[in-house]
Amino acid sequence: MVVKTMSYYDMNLQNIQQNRKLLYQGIIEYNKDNAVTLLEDIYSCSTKDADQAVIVKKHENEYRLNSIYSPVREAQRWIEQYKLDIVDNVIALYGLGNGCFAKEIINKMDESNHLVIYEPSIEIFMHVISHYDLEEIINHKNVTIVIENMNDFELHSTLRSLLRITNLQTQINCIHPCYGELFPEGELKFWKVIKEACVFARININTSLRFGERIITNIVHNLSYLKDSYTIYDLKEKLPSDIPAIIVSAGPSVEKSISDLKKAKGKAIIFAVDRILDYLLDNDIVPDFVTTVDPMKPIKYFSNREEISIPLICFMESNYEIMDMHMGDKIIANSSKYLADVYTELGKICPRLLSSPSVATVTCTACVEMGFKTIVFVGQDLAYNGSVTHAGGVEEEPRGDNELYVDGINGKKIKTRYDWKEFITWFEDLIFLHPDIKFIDTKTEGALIKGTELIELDRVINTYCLNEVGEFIINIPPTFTEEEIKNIKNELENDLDKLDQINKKSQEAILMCNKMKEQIIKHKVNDSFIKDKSKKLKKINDYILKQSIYWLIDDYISSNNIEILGDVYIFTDNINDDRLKTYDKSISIFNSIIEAVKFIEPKLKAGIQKLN
Amino acid sequence: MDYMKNLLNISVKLANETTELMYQQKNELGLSKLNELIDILSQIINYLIQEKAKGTIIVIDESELLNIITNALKALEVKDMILLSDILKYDLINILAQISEKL
Repeated sequence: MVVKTMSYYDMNLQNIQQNRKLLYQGIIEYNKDNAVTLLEDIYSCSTKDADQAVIVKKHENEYRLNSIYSPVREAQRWIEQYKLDIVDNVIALYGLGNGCFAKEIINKMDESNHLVIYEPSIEIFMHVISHYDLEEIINHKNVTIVIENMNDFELHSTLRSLLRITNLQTQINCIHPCYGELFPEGELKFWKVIKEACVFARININTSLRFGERIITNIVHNLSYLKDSYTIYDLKEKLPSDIPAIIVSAGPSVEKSISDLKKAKGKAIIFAVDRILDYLLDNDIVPDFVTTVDPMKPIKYFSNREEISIPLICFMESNYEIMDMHMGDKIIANSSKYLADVYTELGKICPRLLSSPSVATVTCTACVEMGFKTIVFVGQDLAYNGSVTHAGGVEEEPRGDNELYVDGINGKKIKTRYDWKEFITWFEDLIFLHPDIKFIDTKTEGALIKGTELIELDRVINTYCLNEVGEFIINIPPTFTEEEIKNIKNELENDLDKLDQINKKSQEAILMCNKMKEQIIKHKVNDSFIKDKSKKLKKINDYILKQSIYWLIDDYISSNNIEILGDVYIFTDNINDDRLKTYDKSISIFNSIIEAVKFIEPKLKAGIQKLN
Repeated sequence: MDYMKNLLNISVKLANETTELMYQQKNELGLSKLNELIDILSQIINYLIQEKAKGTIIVIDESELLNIITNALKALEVKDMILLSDILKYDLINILAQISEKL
C-alpha cells in the first residue's frame, strides 16, 4: 500500500479553505505569472538548531527574516518586550514571515486577545505555505491573516470591528524583523490602516459620549410606534422585484439631477436621505421613502414642512421629535438591542440594521437588506464643490484643520472631509461584500467610490428603469397585532421591576467592594472572604448583564464613564494595587448603573403608558 | 586573574543585554551597548596579549575569538542585526565562558 502524505501546501490550503474564505479565494485566483515581483529570490535554509529560516533577496541584498542559529529562541526574546496579558487586547503584526513570531504571540495570548497579521508579500506567503506548517495560525479563531492584494479588505474591517474604548490605549502594533526595510510602502499602509481604525473607534466613542442618554430617551419615547409600524422585512415582502432603488443624498450635484429624477419617479423606488427631502419636494419630486436615523438630528435638517406623510425608514433610536412630527407610516430598520427579544419572542424577524456612519450609508444598507439588486446613488458627492457642501448652495463650516484629499471620479485628487472619507470606506466595504448587487454612481464630479459603476442618471433610467413600480405600499399590516402589543406592554412592565432589582443589587455590590477595599487598605486580607465576596459580585454582574434592559443601561454607562472604561483592563504587577483599582472602578460602574436606573425608570413608565 | 574574570563577567552581561535589545529591534540602544561591549573585549584582548608576553600560559584559541569578532563586525557592516545578535549570543558568549573556565 502506498501512503501518500500531504505536502505543507496542501495541508495549509485545506485549513485555509475551511477557515478563511476570502483568503482561500485570493490564493485560488493568484496567478504567479501576472504577479508583480519585488523580490529576486526567496528560499529557506536550515538553522544551527535544525529549524528553518527564510531568506529573501532584494536589490542584490540578502535579508534573513529569522535567526540562522535559533529562530524560535529569537522570537521568544523578541516577544518579551510586549505586555500581552491584557484582557480584550488587539495585537497587529506587520509581516507573517515563516510564522515563527506569530506563533510566539499566539502562545502568549489569552482567549480574549486577537492577533491581526498583515503580510505585504504574496511571494513570501506562497513560499511559506509551501514550506512550513501554519496550522496553528490558520486554524486559530482569534487570528486574522491578511495578505496584500488577496484579502486586504479584512485588515481594516477586522481592526475596525476590534478596536474600542477598552483596548484603544493598550493595543500593540509590531513589525516583523526586516519587514520595515524590505517593504516600506506596505508598512506605511499598515500604520495608515491602524490610524484610521483608531479614528473610527474614537468617532464611535464620541458618538456614545454625545448620544448615549439621548438614545435611551428616544428608544423609550418611540415605544408607542411599535403599535402601528412595520419593519423593513415586512416591506421587503411587498417590494416589486427588478426595480432599482435610487438613493438621493444631499450633495451639491443633486441640482443637476432634478429633471432626470422626475423621469425616474414611478420607475424606480426613490429614497430621500433626510435633509434632501425639502429640496426634492420644492422641485415637485415626492420620494417613495425618507430616512432618518440620527438621535439628535435637528428637525430643520429633516423638513421645514408641517405634514410629512412620506413613509419613514427609521431606527427606534431616531430623534423622537422627528418621529412625532412625521405623520405617515414608520418602517423600523433597527429595533435597538433592548427590543430585540420583544421581536424574536413573538416570532418576528428582528430588524437590526447595522448602525453606520451616515444616514446615506444606513439607507444603502436598508436597500441591500430589502433585496434590491440595482442601487443607484444620486448626490453622493462626498467632496467639496468649492465651498458648497450640500445641495441648494448650503455651505457648512469645514470640520477639522487638516485638508484631506481622496481620489475623484475624474482621476484627480479632490478635497473632502474626515467624516466623508469614512463614508467612502464604508460604501466600498458594503460593495465589496455584495458582488451580486450592481451599485451605480450617477454624479459627474465628486469622490470616487470604488466598486460602483459610473453611469449618468438619464442613461440609468433608460437602461434599468424599464418597468412601472405600481402601488406596493398599501395596507401593509403592522408587525404586531393588538394582542401582541398587550404582551409587549406586560414584558416592558416587568422591566420596571427588573430596574428596581438592578438598583438594589448594585447597592449591595458597592457595599461588598468597599468591604474588600477596607481589608486591602488595612493589610488584613482574608483570602476566603475575598473569594466569597468576589463570587457574589460575579453573580450580581451576571444577573445585571442577562437582563435585556441592561442594553439601555449600557448606553448610559458608555456615555458617562469614558475615563473609567478607557483603562479598565490595564493592570500593574502588584496584586493589591490591581485589586484596589478594580474595586474602585467597579464602585464607579455600579454607581453609574444606579444613576442609569434613575434616568431610565420614569421615561420607561411614560413610554409604556403611550403603548395603551 | 580576578581582574580578568571580572572583565569576562561584564562582557557576558553586556553581550546578553546587547542581543536582547537587538532581538527586540531596539537597534540604537543595542548599538550603544555594543560600544561598551567592544571596549571590554579590547581590554580582554590586551590583557591576554600582556599575559602572553609575560609568559603566562593561558590555553585559549585566540584565532577563534578573533574570528568571532571579525564575523560580528561583518554583520554590523551590512547592518544584519539579527546575525550580529546570533554571533554575540551563541558564539561570543560561548568562547568567553570557555576562557573563564580555563583561567
